Amino acid sequence: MNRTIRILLAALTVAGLGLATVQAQGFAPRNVECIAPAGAGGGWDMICRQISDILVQLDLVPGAIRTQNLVGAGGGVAYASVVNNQRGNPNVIVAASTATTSRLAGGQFAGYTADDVRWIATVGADYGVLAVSPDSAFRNLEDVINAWNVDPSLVSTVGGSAVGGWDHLKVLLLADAAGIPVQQVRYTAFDGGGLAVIEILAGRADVFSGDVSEVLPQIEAGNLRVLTVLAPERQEGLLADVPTAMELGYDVVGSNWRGWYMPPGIGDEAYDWWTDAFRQLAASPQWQELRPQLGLARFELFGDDMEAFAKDQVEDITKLLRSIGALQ
Amino acid sequence: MEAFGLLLDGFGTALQPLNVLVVFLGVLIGTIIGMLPGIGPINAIAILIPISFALGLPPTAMLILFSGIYYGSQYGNSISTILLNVPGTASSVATALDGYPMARSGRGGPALAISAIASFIGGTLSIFGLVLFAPLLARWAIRFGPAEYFVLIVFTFTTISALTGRNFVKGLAATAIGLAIATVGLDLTNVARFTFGQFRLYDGFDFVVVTIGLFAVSEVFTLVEQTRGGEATVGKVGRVMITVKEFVASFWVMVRSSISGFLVGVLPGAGATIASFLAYTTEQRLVDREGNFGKGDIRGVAAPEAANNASVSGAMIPLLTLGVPGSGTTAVMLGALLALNLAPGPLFITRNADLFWGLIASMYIGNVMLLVLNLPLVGLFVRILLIPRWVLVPSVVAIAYVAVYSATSSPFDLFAMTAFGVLGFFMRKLGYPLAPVVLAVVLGPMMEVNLRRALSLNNGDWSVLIGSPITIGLWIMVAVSLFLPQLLRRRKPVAKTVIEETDADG
Amino acid sequence: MSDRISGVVLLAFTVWFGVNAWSIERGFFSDPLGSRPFPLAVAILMAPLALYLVFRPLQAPVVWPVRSLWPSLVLTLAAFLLYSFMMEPFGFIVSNVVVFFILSLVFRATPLKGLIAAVVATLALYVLFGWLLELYLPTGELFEGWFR
Repeated sequence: MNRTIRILLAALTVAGLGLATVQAQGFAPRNVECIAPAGAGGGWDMICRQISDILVQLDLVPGAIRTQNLVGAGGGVAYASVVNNQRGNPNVIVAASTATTSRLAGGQFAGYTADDVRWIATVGADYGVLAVSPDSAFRNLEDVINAWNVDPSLVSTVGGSAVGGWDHLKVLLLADAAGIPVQQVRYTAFDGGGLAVIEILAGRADVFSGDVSEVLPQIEAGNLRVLTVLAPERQEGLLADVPTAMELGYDVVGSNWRGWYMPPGIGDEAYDWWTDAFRQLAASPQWQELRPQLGLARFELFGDDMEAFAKDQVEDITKLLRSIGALQ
Repeated sequence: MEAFGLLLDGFGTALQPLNVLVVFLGVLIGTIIGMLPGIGPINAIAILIPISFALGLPPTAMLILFSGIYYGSQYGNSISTILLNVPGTASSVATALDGYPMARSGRGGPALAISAIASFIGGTLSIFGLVLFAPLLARWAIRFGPAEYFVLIVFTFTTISALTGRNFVKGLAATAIGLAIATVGLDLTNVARFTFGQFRLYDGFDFVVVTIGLFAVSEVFTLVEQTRGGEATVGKVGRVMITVKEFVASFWVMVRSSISGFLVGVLPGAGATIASFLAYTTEQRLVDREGNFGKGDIRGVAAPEAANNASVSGAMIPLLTLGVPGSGTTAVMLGALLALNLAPGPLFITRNADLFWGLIASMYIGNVMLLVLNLPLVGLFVRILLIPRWVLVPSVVAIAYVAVYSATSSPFDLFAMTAFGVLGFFMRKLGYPLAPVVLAVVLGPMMEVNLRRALSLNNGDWSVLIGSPITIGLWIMVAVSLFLPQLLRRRKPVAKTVIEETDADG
Repeated sequence: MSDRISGVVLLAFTVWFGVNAWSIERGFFSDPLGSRPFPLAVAILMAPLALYLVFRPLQAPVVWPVRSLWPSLVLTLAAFLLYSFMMEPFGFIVSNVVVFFILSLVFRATPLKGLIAAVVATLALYVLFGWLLELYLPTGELFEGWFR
């Protein structure tokens, strides 16, 4: 950019609006933006808007938080933009989830890696499930795995995410843990879990791969029977009788977490400030009330713990994709 | 009947002062949002969800508000479509085909009036459908799998000759161009096609970008050409109300289109676009003996407007009875319901009878309000056409560009929209129709994806395409649609010459 | 003649599209049909249509814009392109005023009227989109440094 223009504009801004104050010691957020890497109404968008309200109510962030929908390539456009254009900007948070890490692992973000941003927090998670129709021949997870062992093409699985997306990966992780050649495992992608559930209801597909929040109303109505939950421990309520994959001897936990990353190059002060802000958010009564409504289980990681978790998750998925030859 | 008793209770709920206020606000906001090209109800609802939580609105009021915005925006969208040729959504493209020619020739008033009436008839008739058949239709919707969708889309494409105007070859070429545009981006199995390594192309072209580019942006070039004639405004304002004769001519068109629109709307994912195009093309074949469709026939406005509003109530069925959103906006409403702890699903209606019937009654009230609100305002709306071009045209351009930009934050989309505008300008000049392009952009991906899903679920066995009574019935409709016009034409050679003559001057 | 040219352009596009479609490869996790058939089918549909237009042009008369209008048309196109290029560096307000102003001149406003309309409309849109609808409007990268 032209230096003279910049200086001129600066002078104008200072004179006209008097906004260019000297940055005080310590970090204080201003004009905060939450980037939702998908369109209005999607999961990331909702997280941005709902959380923004709580952060403002808690007086953590002054004024309001603007939500920017930065759409494209399943979050890839936002990722690239944040790494390149927002470097060092401590007033930007970006909504993220397991969809982000699994695409990073699949190399779908044009060569960017999990090390390119600062992972800041997760405040809830939705655990994966495999479910079937109540009158399905598959009575339990073992039945599915036996069928896979005979011929993987005997079982058709469906889910709401794209091929290589999280709903697909959960099936693959499980199949892989059971020693099934995963490339032959059939999976058909639908636009959202709801449409995939219809295929189960209508008997056109065998196994549904989704998240707890998607299946609860269907279980209640007796439309779906859950075979396993990919959680570290047993769930309560409707899923109390359903064994986790771990209990069944398959070392798979599939948590679809909701959280944020921030641009690279932000100072430690800002990073620590945000870590603390999200800690307060997670502990707030507002979030405690909203979390179960969004169908999320308690799952909280902040700062360095989150950094480690996100990078581990990327590494795990990368390892799986490498071992089956999907990645070189 | 039990349902009507419950509906009566619903009116009790819907007529509570707060709910009446909320439905009024909803349809008003919806109308305004709908008038702005490129914004769409999703944004308004996404913004209002946290606000209504903060205000502590009761769930019933919230749901009434959101659905008011949803169907109100369909009303509003027809205003900018008819007056300015700016269809803000793919579902209103069919309305532009006859609505805009009407506005240009000074009949914008009657076009808006019939659109409000058709929307009202579509909206209210489909509410009856919702009351009477919701559980039944939910079961029907389930039986509609990928194979059935595929054949439904094939059927829709066979009616495309109604959109191709005077030249069938160019119409098909326009369809092919639309299909080509639709292949850009990541496909069902995550393979990048025609993206040339460009991130921005991974999601393909959004149909809003294509639609506004082809129609509105190219329209600006066309208007620039006319600056030479010195016309100061975009259209003329003549008579404002419709005549009894026009209403009578459109009545059965609206009733038929409402029914078909409702049935298509029930299918999750098929939605308003197929509904409005199917209604338009069907009516063109049924009632257009003079070849006036596409030149400003009032029935060509009535049909798609009745259908796309009817499809809105239809889309509520899979949402409420199955928990499956049938469109982008109902997907957002699903999010709101979940956040309210009102998980929609098979038990939703029985468990939340008050809320459900209150919502239905409010939709009825909302439709009446929209009619009462819109009909008297037609005279005011058409006056938009009296705004000098040098204010009106740049304003429309600015709204469209800003709306598209803020939806995705992508300057590339603005660039693409301009490119589609240039393409649209040349296509118009050369006599290629534009509507088939938009239809193909919307339906092309659905056609491919559903075929692939059907084969994938059936392990590659093609017999799935004729594997159910629904698919077979639809294939019969495809055959009838392809061959019946030829048979009829052969029997009535006179009618054929009439069509060719009127085509020549179109 | 115009029809024949449009046929040639369409044919060239078809060939290019078909060649690219042919080179599409299966994904690692693929399905029975694969990613290639649909684009190929589109090319196969397009080819005879393009050939038809080349060899049997329909001779529809095309009225091209008169020469005196070309500057206006080019200016209009330039305004649209400016919008795409200015939005992020200069932000909504500056780009909208500029583009609005150019377009109003194209439609024969006097410069003063055009400028007033541009400024008023931009502010109105800013209130409507930025405040009421809470849509994202870029501040402009040039100015952003001073808001951080």
